Amino acid sequence: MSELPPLVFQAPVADWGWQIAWFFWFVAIGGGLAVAYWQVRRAAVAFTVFVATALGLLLVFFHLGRWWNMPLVLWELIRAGEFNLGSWMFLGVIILTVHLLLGALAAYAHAEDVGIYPPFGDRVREMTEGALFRGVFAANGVLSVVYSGFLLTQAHGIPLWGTALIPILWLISSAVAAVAVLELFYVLGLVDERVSVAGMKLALGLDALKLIAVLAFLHVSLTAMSAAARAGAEELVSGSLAWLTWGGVIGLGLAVPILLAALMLRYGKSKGLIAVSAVSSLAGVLFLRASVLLAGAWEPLLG
Amino acid sequence: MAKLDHAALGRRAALGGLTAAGAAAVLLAEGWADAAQLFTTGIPDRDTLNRAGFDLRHTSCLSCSALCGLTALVRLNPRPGERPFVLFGNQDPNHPQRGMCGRGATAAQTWDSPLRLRKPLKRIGPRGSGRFEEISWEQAFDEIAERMRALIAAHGIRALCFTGHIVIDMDEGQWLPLGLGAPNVIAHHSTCNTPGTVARRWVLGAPYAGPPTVDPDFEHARFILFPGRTLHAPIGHQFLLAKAKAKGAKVAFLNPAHPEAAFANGEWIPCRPGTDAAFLLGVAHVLVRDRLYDETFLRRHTNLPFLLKPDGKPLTEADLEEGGEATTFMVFDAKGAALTDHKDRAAEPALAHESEVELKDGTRVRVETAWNRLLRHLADYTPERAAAISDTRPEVIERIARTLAELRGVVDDTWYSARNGNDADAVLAVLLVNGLLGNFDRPGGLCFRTVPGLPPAISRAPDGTVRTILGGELKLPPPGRRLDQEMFPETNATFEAVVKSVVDGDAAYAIRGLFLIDATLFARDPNTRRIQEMLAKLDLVVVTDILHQEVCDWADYVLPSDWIIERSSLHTMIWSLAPAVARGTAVTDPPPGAEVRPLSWISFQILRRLYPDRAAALGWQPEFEDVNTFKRAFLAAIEERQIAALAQRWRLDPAWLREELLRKGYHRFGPITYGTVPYERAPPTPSGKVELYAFHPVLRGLRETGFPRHVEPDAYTLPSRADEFVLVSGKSPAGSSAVAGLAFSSQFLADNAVWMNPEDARRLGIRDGETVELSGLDTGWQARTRIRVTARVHRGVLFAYSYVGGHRQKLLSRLEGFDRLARGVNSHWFATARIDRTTGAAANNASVRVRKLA
Amino acid sequence: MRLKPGEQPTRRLAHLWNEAACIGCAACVISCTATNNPEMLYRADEGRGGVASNIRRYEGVTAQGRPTLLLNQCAHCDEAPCMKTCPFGAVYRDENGLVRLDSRRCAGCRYCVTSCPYNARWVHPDTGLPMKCMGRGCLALVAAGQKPACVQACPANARDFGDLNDPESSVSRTLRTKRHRTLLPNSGAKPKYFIVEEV
Ligand SMILES: Nc1nc2c(c(=O)[nH]1)N[C@H]1C(S)=C(S)[C@@H](COP(=O)(O)OP(=O)(O)OC[C@H]3O[C@@H](n4cnc5c(=O)[nH]c(N)nc54)[C@H](O)[C@@H]3O)O[C@H]1N2
Ligand SMILES: Nc1nc2c(c(=O)[nH]1)N[C@H]1C(S)=C(S)[C@@H](COP(=O)(O)OP(=O)(O)OC[C@H]3O[C@@H](n4cnc5c(=O)[nH]c(N)nc54)[C@H](O)[C@@H]3O)O[C@H]1N2
Ligand code: SF4
Ligand code: SF4
Ligand code: SF4
Ligand code: SF4
Ligand code: SF4
Ligand SMILES: [Mo]
Repeated sequence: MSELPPLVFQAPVADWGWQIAWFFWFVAIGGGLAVAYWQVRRAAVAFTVFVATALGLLLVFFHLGRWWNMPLVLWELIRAGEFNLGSWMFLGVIILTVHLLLGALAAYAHAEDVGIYPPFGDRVREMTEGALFRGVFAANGVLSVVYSGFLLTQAHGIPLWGTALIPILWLISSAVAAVAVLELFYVLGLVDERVSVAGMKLALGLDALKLIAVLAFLHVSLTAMSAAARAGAEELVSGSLAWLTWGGVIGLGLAVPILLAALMLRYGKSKGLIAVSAVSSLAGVLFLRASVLLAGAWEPLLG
Repeated sequence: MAKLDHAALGRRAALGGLTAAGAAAVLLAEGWADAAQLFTTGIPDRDTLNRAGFDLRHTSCLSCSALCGLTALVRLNPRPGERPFVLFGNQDPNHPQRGMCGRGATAAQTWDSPLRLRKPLKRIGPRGSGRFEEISWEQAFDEIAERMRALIAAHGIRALCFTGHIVIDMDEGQWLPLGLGAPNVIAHHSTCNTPGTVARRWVLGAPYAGPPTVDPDFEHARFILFPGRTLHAPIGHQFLLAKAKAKGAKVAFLNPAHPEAAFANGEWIPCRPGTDAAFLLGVAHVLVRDRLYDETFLRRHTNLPFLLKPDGKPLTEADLEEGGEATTFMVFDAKGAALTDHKDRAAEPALAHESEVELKDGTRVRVETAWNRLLRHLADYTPERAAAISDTRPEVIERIARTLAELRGVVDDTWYSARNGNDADAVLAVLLVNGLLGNFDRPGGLCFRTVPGLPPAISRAPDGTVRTILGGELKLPPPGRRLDQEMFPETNATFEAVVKSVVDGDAAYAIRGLFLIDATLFARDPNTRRIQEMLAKLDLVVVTDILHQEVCDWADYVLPSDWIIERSSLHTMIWSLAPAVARGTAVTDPPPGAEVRPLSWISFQILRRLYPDRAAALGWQPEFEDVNTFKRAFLAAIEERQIAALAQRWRLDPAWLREELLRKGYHRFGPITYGTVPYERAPPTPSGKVELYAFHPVLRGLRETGFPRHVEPDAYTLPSRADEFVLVSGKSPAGSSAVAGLAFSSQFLADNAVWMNPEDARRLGIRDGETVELSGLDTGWQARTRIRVTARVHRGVLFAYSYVGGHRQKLLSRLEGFDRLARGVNSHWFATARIDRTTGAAANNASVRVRKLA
Repeated sequence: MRLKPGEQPTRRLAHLWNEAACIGCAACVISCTATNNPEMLYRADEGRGGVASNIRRYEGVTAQGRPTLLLNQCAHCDEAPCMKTCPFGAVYRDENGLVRLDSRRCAGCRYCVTSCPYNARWVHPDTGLPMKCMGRGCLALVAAGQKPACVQACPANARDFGDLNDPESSVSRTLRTKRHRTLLPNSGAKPKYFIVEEV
């Protein structure tokens, strides 16, 4: 006799759903492009880091069920002088805030590229061109992405998220996203060809890595000790979220870009196809985050 | 608010069992932190509470019909929008029926429920349409009286029928039918306890027929088998049982569905519906085979030593000699080695005996004791065969029999038993097993209740005279026999007789007007299509209720009644084996805007319009037009007189008794008494014994045998295909009753999906949560419902909680958040209205076909 | 009162539910709402589609196929993950060993909700606060030295609440004498909601 143990998914209860997926997506772009900035010091990159990080922060802020209480929260934190440094979310907020500031600096430095000449522009530019700034910026970008994965691993209620594969998956897909954005920039004429061609090869490699990581994640989850992780993975592979996995993550996110890249490597580049490939990749990065979030469920207490 | 008097706190007069914690819990529940402080220092007395603006009032719960003790904390001067009261169980551990269960807890939601009736309603659409206009009480009374006048003039008073459940059995429900001299007060029984009640009457006699009159002694029980009883009510019994369990008591439930109470370390014996008799006869077989019975009890206190003729009738003196008494039965005296009269005190009736006797007409017949016949009868019910019939296992039957004998256990004699049409045999079998165990009226056995002797407010003598406790007297002719008892002489009430008279016209006369005093009909009576047909055909339908039940949509007039927590109540604590009464104080006013009225006042208003003289004779006075005056001057006087009568009977000071009732909410007049029936007091059966072989139905020609036997359920077509099932129902302790079933929380806590066993689901390819279509094998009714695949129901059976599914009142679609009440099924859509001819019992189980939707 | 890091609670209050005594009547479930969130009596916890109560009811079957019932609520874990993950320290332990919420510090991120291995929290639709046992009504009761509402509501004596640090408390005595367990013992949270297995 078998009766399915009651499975409670977190999304209807905790509401970590699409909004958080978008947030993660913006972090992925903001983080990935900060790394790219080491090499590609272009206005578009700097501005995108800033805007993506700002949008991400805004999204997560308004996802707070009690965002209007933030002033009081801050006041209480300062008053008590106690900060929960053990909380990834708290650390994350700091990392992202720093990232926003660094992004703002980078954007400031590139203001003259778009015809604005703010005060101290030269000095800021000088600083951002230095290895120190670029190193910190890149490192913080990596941290932001890693944080957004670790955040999930620390949500002990949701065993599907408990694997170290998630931060890795987040990192790889963040790189994918960054490369896709660069390709888009190329199509739009915002970066030059050299960057883009390197990007395409890189993208193919990253896609392969990402495919491996996604499959590894599904495999690990399907064979996990935890019933909730298994059930969540089943949901992703063959259940109500299968469309997201196969259509979104694998299809749009991986199959389409790989196919197009293969075509272009053989028959030559096409700006149109590059654009399609990049958008498709970026969508895949979003779907990946959404699918992992939506499949999260609590371990059934009655086995 | 008044300041607290801390000096008074020192006095600490106990507040009737209410713990400080209990009171404070409730106060805090409603954000009454100020009042909650009262309890942090101890238990204050009532004066202190009152000065602080609060009161503590006891009441009884009527969320199901069990009337458990509740206690309310009341805010004396609530500000607008403040909840004026909060309810919780009476915390007195000695309370014989301490509340509160999940349904009781819904009372706070019922009081001001959006489904609460608030104004008299008059139908403006066709019956069933649910279209009403609000009218004044005056208009309602005038019009109803007018229509009744015409109806009575044309068809006589007998054309009016009054039906209801607990309220109609209480004083409140009696004023109108008795004042009118109406014969047809036909309550709910055939859908509830009729099989058990008739079986108990046959075996134990009329005073011990009603479900609460005989009950296991829960507190001292060692082992109880519950065939088809969930013990979800009265919940107070669970408290008693918890005490017994702490001392090692065990329980087992024989039931096609797993009752919630079985979660509490109970054994669940899944079975096929309608086979309880077979299972229990298998148990009896083992008891007899292994000599595990109480021989002395059987010889002395049962009619098993009585001699039977070959036709199954008892051998009487009238059989043997001219002028012999037909009520004198013959036994074989082992001492004198001769036949003797059963009243012969010197004789030692032999249990086993068989011989040939010469009847007065010279014929010779073989006679044998009922015991001998039992041995042969039980030979057919080996554990193997009983298990095969009931779809249980022989080892279980053997084990249950041994446990019953070793622990001196008891088999519960059922409450709700009207399920399959063959249920009287099940209860006869229950009584047979208990008889074999000899466990009557002993601690932990099947005991007889002692009543406190609360006099009714109004009563009718056999000659038709109606008297009130206040000295009112109304001479009326004898009302004559009830319509249902004309058709089913053994019944305690068979409402289907009314349906027959209206729908089929095959009755002595037809009912034309129906008063529903507290009855759901749709949740209560089988075969919804017939009920609808009846309601459509009647000349007049009046509903008095507290909630907008589905049946309201079919009424010409709907009259909003007050609820038990809004009126004071004095009633026998029906489920207490010890003599006890409960007294409830009105906890609260009706919810704001609700023009609800006491049933007795409603009754008088109708009566005084039709027969002013009768109303006056029963005590009505013009100033009672004011309902508060009526309550103060009339109802209060009745209660006063009743308390005085109780005090006199139990030699108590009436003032003290009144105070005690106010303080504790109840009074127990004495302990449970053991060893009375049948030891000191003979049961009023034909033989004066516990008739394990029921003489009455055999003598009346109603049955061939006085022993229980297994016959296949005949109230519905038995399933024969893989997709056919018996659909059974029963109550959820968390939310199903006619009242609690409509509570907001019940939508979640008493799931209205239909349960299916995983084996069956797999076979039919149905998954948990899937929607299927059910169609009644007999009624053809089709409905869609969600299936819950669960091991809590036996294979071949579907289960649905009663009262929680398939509500169809139109109002629901207009109420936000109550939409789930309309989902699920009402098992009565599929149930037939076949009545067991011998007992008059209906059957609520049904059979259905399940169709997977594409 | 919020304990400082490293400070030990003076009492370790704990809940106990006897699965062998519980008859599944849900009086505790409804009383919990009535006591702690009366505003939710006519409103569902939409997240789970159920009664907005700090007690949740689960049904299942044992390995032997026997139907079982589980009532669950916050276990006031000694190593509470919800406390570790809350970014603003809104979740804290008090001097009674109870895991509490400082609503002033709560921004409603629901990290505590996803961090709880026991799925004990629900989100209030009006305030956005992560709700769980003990609610404000019960906290006030306990402060007054009394038992919480669910314990008092139970008609089957299936619930208790008391101090594990006091060897004479009824919970300590029960846990000494009766077989019991906690849920997901490997969660690392060190839960204090005890399920007693015999009457
Ligand atoms: N929740 C709730 N409780 C109530 C009431 C209420 O309205 N709601 N009303 C009160 C009233 S009026 C009554 S009469 C009592 C009734 O209380 P009980 O007599 O305890 O009966 P139910 O709780 O209705 O449970 C009936 C059980 O019978 C089982 N059953 C169905 N068919 C068969 C069968 O053929 N054989 C066997 N062995 N079992 C079968 C069902 O599965 C169900 O579990 O409850 C009282 N308490
Ligand atoms: N399928 C199926 N059918 C069943 C059963 C089953 O288990 N399954 N159970 C059967 C049993 S055991 C019984 S007893 C019947 C019960 O069926 P009913 O007798 O119809 O049910 P009750 O719960 O007594 O509710 C009667 C009505 O009284 C109203 N009421 C409550 N309090 C008051 C009051 O103070 N004044 C007035 N005027 N009205 C009030 C309620 O709102 C309700 O509408 O149903 C039977 N039918
Ligand atoms: S069993 Fe529950 S619903 Fe019925 S009277 Fe008792 S407390 Fe009320
Ligand atoms: S049970 Fe959950 S909410 Fe309660 S303390 Fe433990 S982790 Fe926190
Ligand atoms: S919802 Fe509130 S209490 Fe929970 S983790 Fe977020 S801030 Fe902390
Ligand atoms: S202690 Fe209070 S808040 Fe906690 S579950 Fe019990 S009733 Fe609810
Ligand atoms: S009140 Fe008691 S018996 Fe009822 S469900 Fe809760 S714990 Fe179980
Ligand atoms: Mo009943």
